[in-house]
Amino acid sequence: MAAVEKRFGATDGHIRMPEGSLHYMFGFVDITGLPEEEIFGCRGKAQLLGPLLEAKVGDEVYLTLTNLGMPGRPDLDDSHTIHWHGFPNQIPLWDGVPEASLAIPVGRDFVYYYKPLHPGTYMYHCHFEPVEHIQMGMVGPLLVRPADFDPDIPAFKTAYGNGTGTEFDREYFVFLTELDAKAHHQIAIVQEYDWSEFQPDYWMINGRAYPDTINETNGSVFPNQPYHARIRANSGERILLRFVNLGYQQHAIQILGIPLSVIAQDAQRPIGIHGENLSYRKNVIYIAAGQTIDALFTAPAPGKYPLFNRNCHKNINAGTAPGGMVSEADIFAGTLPPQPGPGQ
Amino acid sequence: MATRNINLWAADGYISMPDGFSVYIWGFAPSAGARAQLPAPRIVVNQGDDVKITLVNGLPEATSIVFPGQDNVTVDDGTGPRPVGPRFDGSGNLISLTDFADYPGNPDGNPTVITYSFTAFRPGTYILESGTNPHKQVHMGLYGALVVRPADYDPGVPSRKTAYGENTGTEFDREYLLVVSEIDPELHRAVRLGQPYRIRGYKPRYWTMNGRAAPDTMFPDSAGYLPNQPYSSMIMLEKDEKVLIRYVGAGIENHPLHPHGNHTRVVALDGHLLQNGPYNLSYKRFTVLAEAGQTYDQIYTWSGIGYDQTHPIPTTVPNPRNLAVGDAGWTMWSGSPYLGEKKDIPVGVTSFNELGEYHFMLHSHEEPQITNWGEFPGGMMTMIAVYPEGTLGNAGTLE
Amino acid sequence: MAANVYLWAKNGTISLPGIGPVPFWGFAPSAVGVAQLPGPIIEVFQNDSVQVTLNNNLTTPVSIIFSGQEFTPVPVTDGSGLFLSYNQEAPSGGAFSYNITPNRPGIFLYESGTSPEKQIQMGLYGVMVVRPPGYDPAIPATWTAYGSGTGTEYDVEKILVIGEVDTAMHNAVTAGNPPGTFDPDYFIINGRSYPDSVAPDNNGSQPYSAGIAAATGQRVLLRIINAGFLNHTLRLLGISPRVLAGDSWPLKSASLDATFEKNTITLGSGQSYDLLFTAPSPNQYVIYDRDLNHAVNGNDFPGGIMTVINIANP
Repeated sequence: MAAVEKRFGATDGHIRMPEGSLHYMFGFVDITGLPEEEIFGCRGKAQLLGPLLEAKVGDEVYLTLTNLGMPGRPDLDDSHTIHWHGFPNQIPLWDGVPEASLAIPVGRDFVYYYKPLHPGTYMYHCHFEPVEHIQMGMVGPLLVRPADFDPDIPAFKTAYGNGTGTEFDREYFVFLTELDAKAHHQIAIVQEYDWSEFQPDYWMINGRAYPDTINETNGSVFPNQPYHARIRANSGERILLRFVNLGYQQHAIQILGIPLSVIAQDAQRPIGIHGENLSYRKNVIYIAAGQTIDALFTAPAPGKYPLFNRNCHKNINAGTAPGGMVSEADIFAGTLPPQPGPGQ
Repeated sequence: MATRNINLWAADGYISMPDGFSVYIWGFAPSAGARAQLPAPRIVVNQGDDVKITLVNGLPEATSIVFPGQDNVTVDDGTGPRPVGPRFDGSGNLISLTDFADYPGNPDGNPTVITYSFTAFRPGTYILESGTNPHKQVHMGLYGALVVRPADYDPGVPSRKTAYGENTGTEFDREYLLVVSEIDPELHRAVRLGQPYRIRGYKPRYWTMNGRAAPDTMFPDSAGYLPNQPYSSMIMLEKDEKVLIRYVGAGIENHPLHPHGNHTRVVALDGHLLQNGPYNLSYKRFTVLAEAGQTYDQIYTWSGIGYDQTHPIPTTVPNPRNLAVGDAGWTMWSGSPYLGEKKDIPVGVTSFNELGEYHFMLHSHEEPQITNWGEFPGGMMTMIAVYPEGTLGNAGTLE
Repeated sequence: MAANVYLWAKNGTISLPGIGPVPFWGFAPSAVGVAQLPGPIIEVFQNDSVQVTLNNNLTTPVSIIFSGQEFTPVPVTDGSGLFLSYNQEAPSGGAFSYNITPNRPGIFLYESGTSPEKQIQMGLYGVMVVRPPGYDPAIPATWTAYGSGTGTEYDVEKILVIGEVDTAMHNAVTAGNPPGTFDPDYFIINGRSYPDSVAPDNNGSQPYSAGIAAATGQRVLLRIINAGFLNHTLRLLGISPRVLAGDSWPLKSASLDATFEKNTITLGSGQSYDLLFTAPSPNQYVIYDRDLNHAVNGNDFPGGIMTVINIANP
C-alpha cells in the first residue's frame, strides 16, 4: 500500500508500420517526475502503446493528466481524459467521460485518483471523442497486482494472489489494436473522416505489426513504439498472457501448439458464487473490444511457436502478407535469464 | 397460468435518427392500421401461460415469427394444432424458416393471419423475429423481445422479484430491456423503392438501442417526437440497488457492451439460467459481447466507496473554468464529485443533471458504433444514472 | 497405437449455387482421388502415434498445422526470421511426414500453415476426430465424445465444418495473380452452400452432407468447428442444445458440471463447440447462420450456412 504518483502527457506523434510507412497518431507519454520546464519538450512524442500503468491493490494512485497539445495539429484544441476501463465502483469525476464529468484542455492538468481494490488486467484510454482518440492511439496497458504480490517469492508472484493458482514466471501483454491509414491521414491533413467507413489496413499487437512484433530492439528503431510482442520462456515455466482488445473488431488469437488456460476475464477470476472453479481451456482466444482475458500456459519443449490471429485476413500489412497480428512464443531449454519486467 | 392473446400487425413505417435521417422500416405494430414500431411491442407473460400470438400481415410479402427458446410452438390451420416447421414449395425449395402469414392479395389465396401458440415453460428473456426472408426482414425491423416472468414472481416481495425465481440469485430492484441492432440505410431505401440490394455491401451507418440512436436513447419512453420508437434505453437506479439489464442482440453484428462504473454479473444466456443443480455458473464482466440473435440477463449494481462531504476525495477539483466542461454545450455532470450534490457549472453550459446523480456511460466498445453515420456522439450508447437513495421514484419497470 | 494417414494436396473444383465450378485447393485421400472440401476426416484414438504424410501436387509449398494439439511446430523462416510457414513444408511435387500424438479426445482442425491467409481460404483444411479410450465404432454403448464421466454419450454424431469462399480470390490465386482483399461471396457448411448442404454424402469434391437424421429420443451430438476467417453464429430453431465442450475441452468433470444450454451460439474463427440434444418429436429443424448475410447465396435467402435436422419416429 503506497502512494503512486504518475504523470502522463497527452499529445501526438507518429508511428511506423513494417514497410516503412509513418502514420500520424495521438497518444500518451510518460512525463512522471519531469521538471515543469521540460514537459513541453515531450510534445509530439506520444507512444503506442501508452506507458504501462502498474499498481498494487491498496495503492493510492495519483495520475496527473497533462494536455500537452498537438504540434502536428496546432489548430486542434481537443481536450483529453483518462478512463480506467473496468474500475469497479468508480465515481464520474475520475471515470474520464467528458459528458459525465470534465475533460482536460490544452495546457491544463488534472489529477485522477484510483485506489484499486481488485487485481487484474485492465486498460486505460482517452474518452474524449473516443471513436477518434482511441483509434488515433490514446490507449495503454494497465495492471493491478494483488496485495500480497512479491516477485521474488514464487508462491506470491501471482496474478490474483497467493493460493489462487495464478503463479507465473513471466508475463506478457497481448494488446490488440488496428490502424486505418486513411483515418489517420485525414486527421493529419485537417480533414473530416466518416467513422462509419472505418476499415483497418494494419493489425497490431502491443502497438506494432508483424514482423516488428518480434523485433526486440526499441530505441532508435521504434522511438514511439516501445513494446514488442515476442513471448519468451524456458520450458516448464508458467507464462501469463494478458490479452487486451482496445480495437474496434473482435479477434481470435491462437498460439500454435499451445492451448491456454483462461484464469480470468475482465479482471474477474472465473470463480462461481459458491466457489466453483469455472476456469477453462481454449485453443483460440476470442476477444471483443473492451475485454481483457488472462491466460496461463506451461512452456512446452523448446521451439518457436507461432502466435497469430485466426482471422487470417488480418495477418497482413496494407494488403501484403505476412504481417499484421502475428508474433511468436520462443521457448528455450533453460538459458533465458529472468524477466526484468512485464513484457520484456 | 393464463391464456394470453397477443396481436401483432406486420406493417411498415418510419423511424427517426438524431441527425435528421428518416428510415423506412418494416416492423410490428401494436394495433390495426398503426405504423410499425421499432422494436416490436414488448411482450411480458408469466411462466406457464398459454401464449397465443396472432400475426396479421400488412406487408407486400409473406412474413412469420420464430421464437428461439420456446419449445413446441404450434399453429392451427383449422385441422388441430401442429408443430411449426420450415415450409417448402412444391419443388422442395425452402420458402420460410417457419409457418408464415402470406401477403394480402396473394394469388394463392393463402391466409394472411397466423396464430402461433406455445406454453411459456421457462422464465427468461427471449428474442422474437421474422423467419421469412430474414436476411431482409430482420434487418428491416421485424424483431423484438419476449420476457417470461417466473411462476413465483411477485414485485411486492423482494425475494420474489426475480428474473428466474426465488433463490436463483436473480433478484432485482429495477429492470431494463435493451434490444440492440444496426441500420444500413441503403437496405431500407432499396426495400422502400422496391429496388435490388447487394447483401455483400451491407454497411451499417446507424446503431440502435431499442430502435433509437443516441442521444435519443436517453430520452424517456413514449417521447412525443419519436412516435414509432417508444422505448427508452436510459438506465436509472439508486445507490446499492440491483438492476436487471436484459440485452437482446437483434442485429447481425456482435456488439461488445461496456457499462462504466462497475462490472455486471451475467446470470442467464438465451433465457437459460446459468445454474446446473448446485453449480452456479454466473460470471462477472466489464464488457459483455451481445452476439447476434442471443440474449443476456445480467445484474448491475453501484455502491461506491463512500466519498461524501464527511469522507472527502483526496484530490482537489480544479476550478471548472480551467477545465473543459460540456464542450458540446451540455453536460450530465452535477459539478460536484459527490453523489447527491450539485455545484457550479460554468456559464454557458447547460447541465441536465437533476439531483446530483452520477452518470456512467453504457456503450458498444466498437467505437464507430457510437456514432450517427460516423459523427460522435451517437449510436449504441446510453447512460446509467445512479441516484441518491430514496430519490428515484418509479423507474425501471417493463410494464 | 500407430496410425498412418496419407493426404494429397491438389487442385480441384467445387460447385456453389448459381455459378460455374470454382477452383480450389484441397486435401485428397488418395493419389488418384479428388481434392475435397473439407479435407478427409481423420479419425484416430487418444494417444495414438499418428503419422500424417502430406503429398504435395500443387505448384507451391504447403504444410499442415494441427490446431488445438499440444505439439512443437517447426516453422520455416527466411533469412531475417520472417515466417514462410508455421510448420515444415512439403515442397511442390514432394512430401513430408508429420508425427503427432493427440493427447486428448475431441475435434480439431488440420490446415495449411503456409501462407494461411491464402491457403486455408483456398480450401486446405479438414477435421481430425480423436476418439476417447474405450470408443468402439461397432458398439454404440461406447460412443462418447470425451470418455466416461464427461456426460457426452450420444447415439448420433455429426461433424459440421463452417467456412467461407471468396470466389474472386480463388480465381485470382489459380491464375497466379495476387489474391486481393478477402471478401467472401459464398458461405459453406461441410464445404457446401444450402441447399447443397442437405444433399446426401457423395464421392465428389464436396463429399460430406451437412444434413442430420435421427429418431425421437436419440441423443444427437453436433460437433461444430469454424474453419472460416469470420465469426459465425449458428441458431438451432426449435431445439435448445446443451454445450458440452468448447475447443474440445469438456465442461463436465467429476467435481463440476459447467455445461449450459444455448439456442444460438457464436463461434470465433478456429473455435469449436460440442452440442448435445435429445431429438424431439418428428419434424424438420433448421440450423442456420444468424449472421443472416451468411445464410444467403448471392442476394437470395435461403442459402449459405444452413442445414436441416430431420427427426423421424423411432
